[in-house]
Order: sequence, then structure tokens, then C-alpha cells
Amino acid sequence: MVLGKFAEGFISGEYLLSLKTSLLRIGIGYSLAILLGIFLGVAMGLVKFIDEGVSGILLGLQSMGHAAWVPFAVLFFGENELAVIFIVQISAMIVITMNTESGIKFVSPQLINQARISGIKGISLFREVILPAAVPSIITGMRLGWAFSWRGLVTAEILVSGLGVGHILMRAKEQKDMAYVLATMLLIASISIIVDNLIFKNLENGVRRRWGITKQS
Amino acid sequence: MGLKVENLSKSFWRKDVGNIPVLEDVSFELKDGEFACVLGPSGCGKSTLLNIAGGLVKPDKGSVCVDGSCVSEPSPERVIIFQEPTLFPWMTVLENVLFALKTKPIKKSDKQDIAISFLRKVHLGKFINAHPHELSAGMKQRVAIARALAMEPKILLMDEPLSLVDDQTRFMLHYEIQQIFKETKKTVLFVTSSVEEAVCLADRLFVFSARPGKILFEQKIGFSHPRRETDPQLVFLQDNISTILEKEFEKIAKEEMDIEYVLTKSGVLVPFDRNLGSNI
Repeated sequence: MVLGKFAEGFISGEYLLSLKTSLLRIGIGYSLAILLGIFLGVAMGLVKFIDEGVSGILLGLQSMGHAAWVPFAVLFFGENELAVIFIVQISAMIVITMNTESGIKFVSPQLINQARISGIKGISLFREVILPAAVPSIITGMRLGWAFSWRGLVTAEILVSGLGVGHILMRAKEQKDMAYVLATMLLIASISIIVDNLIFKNLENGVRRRWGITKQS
Repeated sequence: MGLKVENLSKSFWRKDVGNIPVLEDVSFELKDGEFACVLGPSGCGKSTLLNIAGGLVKPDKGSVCVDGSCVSEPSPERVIIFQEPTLFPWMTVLENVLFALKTKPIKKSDKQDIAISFLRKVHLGKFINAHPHELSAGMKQRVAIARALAMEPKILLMDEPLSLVDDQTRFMLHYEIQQIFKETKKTVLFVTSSVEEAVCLADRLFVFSARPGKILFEQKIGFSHPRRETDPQLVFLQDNISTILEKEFEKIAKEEMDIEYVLTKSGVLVPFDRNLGSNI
């Protein structure tokens, strides 16, 4: 029955239509999260006072559920796309920031010394040693961020805006249509997993290949 | 010219124990092409000396000068080979060596040739496209040595580079190092805690005291290279130096174990049947 509803959703075009809106929102929100998150994480990893100022706040914000951002977003942006994108963005950004920051901070000082001995310093040191060394950790952050951004999206779509997959869930609930609810949850989960497999697994494997770590069989 | 170390002192401050002097008034001079070993018990400031010479640590007092100019920051002129190979894991062996040559004003194709020729010298010609993860500890350390040599430094600082390598590889590397330095005639400051290694490699050997590190005495070793660790003359020398070092170790043990040490020494904690007559 659930699978039937699943197919029905696609045939009626409702899934595709709302996926289009949802994916656009998550695309924008998540991209912003990556940009800002990595930027902030790098700043925190490199500059001590930024780290001291921001890390406590970040942890505080992270302990807030995604739903807790809804009132703020709606009052600030109004009940519109921006509010949804903001919630997606903030949900994903914090975990990306924290992972980036720890990746940068835990680059082995030995490696940095080695580079300094070779006469490499400044931006070149950052670009060619610190950043590549932090990449595995940044990718973990991005992967987690991807999952978190879906949570943010669905929350925001249920509570804020009238379109998207979260809204289908909401409507199905109002019609007391359990099969449709489950089918839609299945849809959300599978999209998230498919993207994770297509993009992040490959990214991770790419890094592993680049570091010469091959799977033992 | 060469390397000149003058009145070097350094202490570290730790919250729980206060000021710990690690180096005290160390002075010596190396001529170009000399292979000097610094030998001492662990914690005597050998590595600190090397890090100061490499420009990674600032001394409290005194200075290290190479060819008349004093050290203030790291530079490709003074390359350190660390205890661990510190290769960049995302680069291949060849890329690691090339990366070290990055700031050298040479043509790119020449850099490639230099890198490969030095990797061949340490017998890694077949592994230039391997990643560090795929290599054994000894091979990684050989990459680090090739990298350091390729940089053509004025002086090479080696910080117990072979202490993590297995015995077989170490003996082989001792031999290779001697061959390589016979060819390249580099000035080397080699820090080690192994008497065997020091006696095998050094032209001049500085024996350090326990903390704070001071030069106890200098030993010139004139035998021609390459030497073998098992050479009877070297073993004789090792024995002499070991006896002196043992006293230094005792000093450290006393400091660390305090009252326990006295008990051990007077035989309370050592069963009598273990005593092979060394105290007679």
C-alpha cells in the first residue's frame, strides 16, 4: 500500500513538483552552509580569538532543535522562501563549521614544521598543507551537514511554507492518510541516501585514493 | 666556516614543576663536511638543540650560526630529518620530494630529475608513485632522507631518524648513510641515544650529560667509512662510552624514582639470584 502510494505520488506529479521546490531550497541553503561553514571553521581554526568568541555560541546554537529556528526565521524574513532557506542553512552550517575547525586545528604540527623547513609559509602553507590535511574532516562535516539540512528542510516546510515535501507530509497527516505519510518519508530518506551515495561516498573514496588508503579485502 | 654553536642555553616552563633547564651553555663548532653525533640519555635536550639549530625553537641564550649568519627561522639551508618521517599523506613519494624543492629557483624538469635521482640513491626508484601509506616505516624514513638530501642544505640535522626503524633496516641504513655522505660530503649533526649508532657513524662524537644537557666530553673517531657496527675496535669504544653513559642514566633514574631508586640499588627490590656479580 505504501509502495502503491509512492508510485501514485510520482504519477500524479505531486512528488516531482514538490521535489523541485524542495531541492531548490536545499540546494541554495546547503551551498550557503558549505561556503559559510568552511569559511567560519577555517577562521576559527586559524585565529584564536575568533575561536574563543564563537565556539561557545556555536555549541549553544547547535543544541537548539531545527524547529526552534522557525519563529526567529519567520519573524525576521516573513513566511517565505528566505525563511526556509535560512533554516536549512543554519541547520547544516554549524556541524560543517565545527568539523572544519577541528580538522584545521588537528593538523599535525610536525607537518607544518616540515613545510616551514622547505621554505613554505603564509597563504601557500595554508593552501597546500593545512587545508589538504583538513579535507577528510571537512568532508565528514559536509556529509553530516547534508543530513542535517534535510532535517531543517522538512521541519521548515511543515511549519512555515506551503510547498515542498514537508508540506505533503503535513497534508497527508490532515487527511489521516498513513500510507501517504510513510510513502513520503520513504521519498525523503531515499533522496537523501541517493545523494549521499552519489556524491559524498565518491568524495570520500576520492580522498582515500588520494591518500593512498585502499580498502583491504 | 660550517656550524657554530655558542653558549646555548634553553629552559622550558611547565606549570606543575616550574622551570626545567634542558640545555646549559653548550658550545661547539663543526667544519664543513664533518659528521657529528650528539649522544646522550633521553631528555637531555638533544632534540631541543637540533630544533634550535633548525630554527623551530628560539634559544634563551646564545646562538647558532651557519657560515657566519645566525639562525632565526626555519630555512631550506638547514634541513631537519625528524624521528618520524613526516611525509604528506596526500602526496606521492615523488610529490613529497618535489614539494620540498618548491621554493628552489630551479627549472621544473630539473627538479623532477633531482628528486628521482635522490630517490634512486635510497633505493626507492620503483616507488616514486606510491603513497606514504603504502610504504613501510623504513621506506618512509628513506623518503625523508632523500627529500632532505634533494634540498641540498648547507647542513643536515638528524633527530634520531632511525630510532623507529627495525634493526635490519637500521643496519642497512647505517651503511647507506655512510655511503651517501661519503659521496655528498654534507655537514651533519646527528642526534641519537644509541651508542652503537653514534660510534658507527660519527667523525666527532659529543656525549651529553643528563638534564640539563651539557657536553660531557668530545670523542674523535677516526676510522674510515663505511664502518660496520660489529667491528671490534668500534665495540671497544662503545663499551668505554657506555660505562660513562650508565652513570648519567643512573642520575636520571635517581631523579625520577627518588627513594625507590635507593631501595633498588641496595638490593631490596632486586632478587639476589638476579645478581650476576656486577657489584663485586
